[in-house]
Amino acid sequence: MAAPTITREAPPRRVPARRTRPGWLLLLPALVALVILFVVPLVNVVVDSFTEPSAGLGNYTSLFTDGYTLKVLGRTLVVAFTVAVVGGLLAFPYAYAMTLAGPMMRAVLVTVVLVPFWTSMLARNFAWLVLMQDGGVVQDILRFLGFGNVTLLGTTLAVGISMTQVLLPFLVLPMYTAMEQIDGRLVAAGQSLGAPKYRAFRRVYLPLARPGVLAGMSLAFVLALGFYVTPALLGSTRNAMIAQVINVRTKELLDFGGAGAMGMFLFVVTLVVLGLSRRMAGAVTGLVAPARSEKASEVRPWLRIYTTVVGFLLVAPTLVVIPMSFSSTQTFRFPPQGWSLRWYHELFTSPEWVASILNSLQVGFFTALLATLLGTAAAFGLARLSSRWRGPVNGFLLSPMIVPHILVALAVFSVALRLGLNGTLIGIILAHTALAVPFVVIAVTARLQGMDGRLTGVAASLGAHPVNAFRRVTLPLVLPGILSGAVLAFVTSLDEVVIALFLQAPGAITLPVQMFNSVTVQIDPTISAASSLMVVLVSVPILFAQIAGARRGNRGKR
Amino acid sequence: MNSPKTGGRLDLSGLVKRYGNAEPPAVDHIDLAIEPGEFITLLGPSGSGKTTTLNMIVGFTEPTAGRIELNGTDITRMPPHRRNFGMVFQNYALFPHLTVAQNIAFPLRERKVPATESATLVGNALELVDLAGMGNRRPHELSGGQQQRVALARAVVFAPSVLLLDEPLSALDRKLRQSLQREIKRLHQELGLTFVFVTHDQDEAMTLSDRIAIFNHGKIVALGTPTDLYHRPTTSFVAKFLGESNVFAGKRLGNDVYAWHDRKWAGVFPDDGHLIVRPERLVIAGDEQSVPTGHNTAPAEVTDVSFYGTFHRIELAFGDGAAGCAVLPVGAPASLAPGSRVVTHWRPEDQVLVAE
Repeated sequence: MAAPTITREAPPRRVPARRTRPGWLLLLPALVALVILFVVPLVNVVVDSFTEPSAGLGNYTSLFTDGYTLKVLGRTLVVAFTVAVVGGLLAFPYAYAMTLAGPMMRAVLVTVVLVPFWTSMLARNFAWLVLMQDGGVVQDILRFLGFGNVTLLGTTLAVGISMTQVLLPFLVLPMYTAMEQIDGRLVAAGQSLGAPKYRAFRRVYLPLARPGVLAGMSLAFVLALGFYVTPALLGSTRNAMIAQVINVRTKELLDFGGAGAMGMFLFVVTLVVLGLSRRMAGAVTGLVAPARSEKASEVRPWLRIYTTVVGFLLVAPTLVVIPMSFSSTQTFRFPPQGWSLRWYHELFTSPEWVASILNSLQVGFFTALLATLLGTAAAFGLARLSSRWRGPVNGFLLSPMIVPHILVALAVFSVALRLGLNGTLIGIILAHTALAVPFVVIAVTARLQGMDGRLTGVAASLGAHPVNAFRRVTLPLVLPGILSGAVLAFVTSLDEVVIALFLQAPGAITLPVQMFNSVTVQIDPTISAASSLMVVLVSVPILFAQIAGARRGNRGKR
Repeated sequence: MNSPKTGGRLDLSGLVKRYGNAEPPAVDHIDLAIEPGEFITLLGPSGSGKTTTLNMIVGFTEPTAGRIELNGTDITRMPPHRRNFGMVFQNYALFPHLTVAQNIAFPLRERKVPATESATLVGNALELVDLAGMGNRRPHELSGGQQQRVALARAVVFAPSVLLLDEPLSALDRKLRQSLQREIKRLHQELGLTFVFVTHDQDEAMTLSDRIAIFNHGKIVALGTPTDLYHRPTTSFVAKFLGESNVFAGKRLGNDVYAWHDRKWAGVFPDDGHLIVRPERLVIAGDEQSVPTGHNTAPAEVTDVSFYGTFHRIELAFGDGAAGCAVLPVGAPASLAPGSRVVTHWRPEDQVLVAE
């Protein structure tokens, strides 16, 4: 079992950048695809925002003069800020508890944070709809606490609660990453130097955790700004948020200029907030990564309780969705009064639902295929670029991740409308491909960087032709990265609803869109079975990829 | 530096730390009186309870039972920040988000020392550890040795009465370790504080300490000056842990006769036990005839000879099969090769009787 040790000592960090021309060739398809699918539509939106309906800055001035628009902007900013702050207060102790827990408990806490990612966005919002409806569980709890009968659905409060839950993992994970780097003895050092425990925590621990806290909170803030599904399902038009107004202006009023100005506003705020948070965080360099003691530290009772509550909040929607799908009644009552498989029967026999499932699988498959081809080639190309170009090109390849989905939807919609791609699955596939390429690039790049760069040279010294060296050495080692990229692309497409909503037409309705319509257009409890199916469709590929990754993970690593 | 004239006096009595219901406890009824200004080293293998004891002194770990007194005042339950002890951690534990000067000023700010006075004290502390002018650097810009000097400066800048050092040199290479050992010794002499030093390195313990407390299985198994412990070990554990030893497992026949293998040895043997002879006391002869009268002898076979610059080290297998060693100064008439049969001998006063 000593074989893997031969590659242990300091290999070069990257695959050497010998020739850069093949690098550009490999990058070309992805770059062209992103320009056509992503940049051109966005530029089109910018142009529209200055020219439609008449040339000038009218659309932008009305953003800040029109009373209704101002109100929506203000409400969106306040909700997003509140969600980021409240979410941060929930996430910080949870992430802190993760660093204190023993290995078993930490595994449980990590899994709990990831559960929301495995539960589709729509399924989670549906669960909150069930929980917060009149006569629902949350209302019962509030009445029990003496608040009387509070109507939650349609209020900004309901939207905020659901958004906070949906965004919690994005807050916990960056915080945990930062906190994990902090040497626990630094607080002890502070105490030995005369600081009481709370002051040592404030003067030593908090400044060190700050980059993670800022990263998490600003990410949650910008994601919250562009939320469409949650306010559309749980809020109402009276307290609309910016994404809802963009939707109405685009799809009902065909006011591309006005919607475009709003989308650009969203985008600029996103860039400014992310830029500022990076500046402010000022990454603390030279943290001594502590030798983690596998002994659990003492977790105080209040932290234990708090963590349990937050953990429960993270898994609650998933715990609602699955039992709901076995309900025997026509209503969304939770817990269900009786049990049956009728909604599954409905899901797999009703022509609309079956068509939407098949559409989603088709879109997901082709998105995964295209994104994997483009992204894998791009990642290999990236590794061959000189370091001067690698940063900017990588930034461009990942840029679809930071543009709010509602803006992408608007951009793609207006282009698709002009090209007649509306109402076809191709439009959805192409838009999803642009969104999914970054995930593949990240997964494959991570794998390439983890690979010992000398191995292809070793293969060559053993007489392998470069093509064979690639086929027999590089490819098998990078394959887990490609597979997990493909899975992420598939899942991204499967769970994506905003763009699919914009591009929907009678022949092109994906499962999330069908679910969305089944709540907003007609009340159809089949959505609960569909939600459970989504949980399975999302979590099975991820689990599969993780198991495959774990099995192959140790091979050829540094 | 406004150092007090004398360090604090520490008294540990009946100190116990038990994790859960673990048996035996991590620290098992320790009694130790540490004199003002003394340099005491807690020495022992890992898991012997020395670091747990240190953590109880500084206040990070609460004892299960027992008392800790500082100058006669009970501080057993006092939180660490009020004890006014300096502590130097393994791997330095410098605050990465603060500069060197801010690190050193940290304890002064906690004590509300005015800014101007604080700046002077920080400057003095930097000079004390030979880092003048480095105040604006960040910890990660310094070498390991420099970081440890900053940690030292930070731990003494507020004039604590006791300085606790938890394996402060273990992360450094040999050369640096030696120069920092001298530095620590000098600081001890200049500041006059009580130093409590934890290490598993016996050479470090021997060169630095006034007294050494040897820990094993949560107990102090020996306490004394380095020379005392080296020349008159009381148990074979101490003899083997502090320096090297040839251990002869024989049998006491009477008050002045000890039997080993096929030999009878002279000496004073009040109790039963093992006989210890240090390698540098062992002399090697080619045959029995050249052994001076009155010396005790043991036959052996040379298994290996290695050259160390200032001395030769001879590995031996004694008549009863036990392994041992001797050191010979370079230049000694030694035509020893592995495989040669020799007779080792020593004066009876060079042997020590120890409990098994």
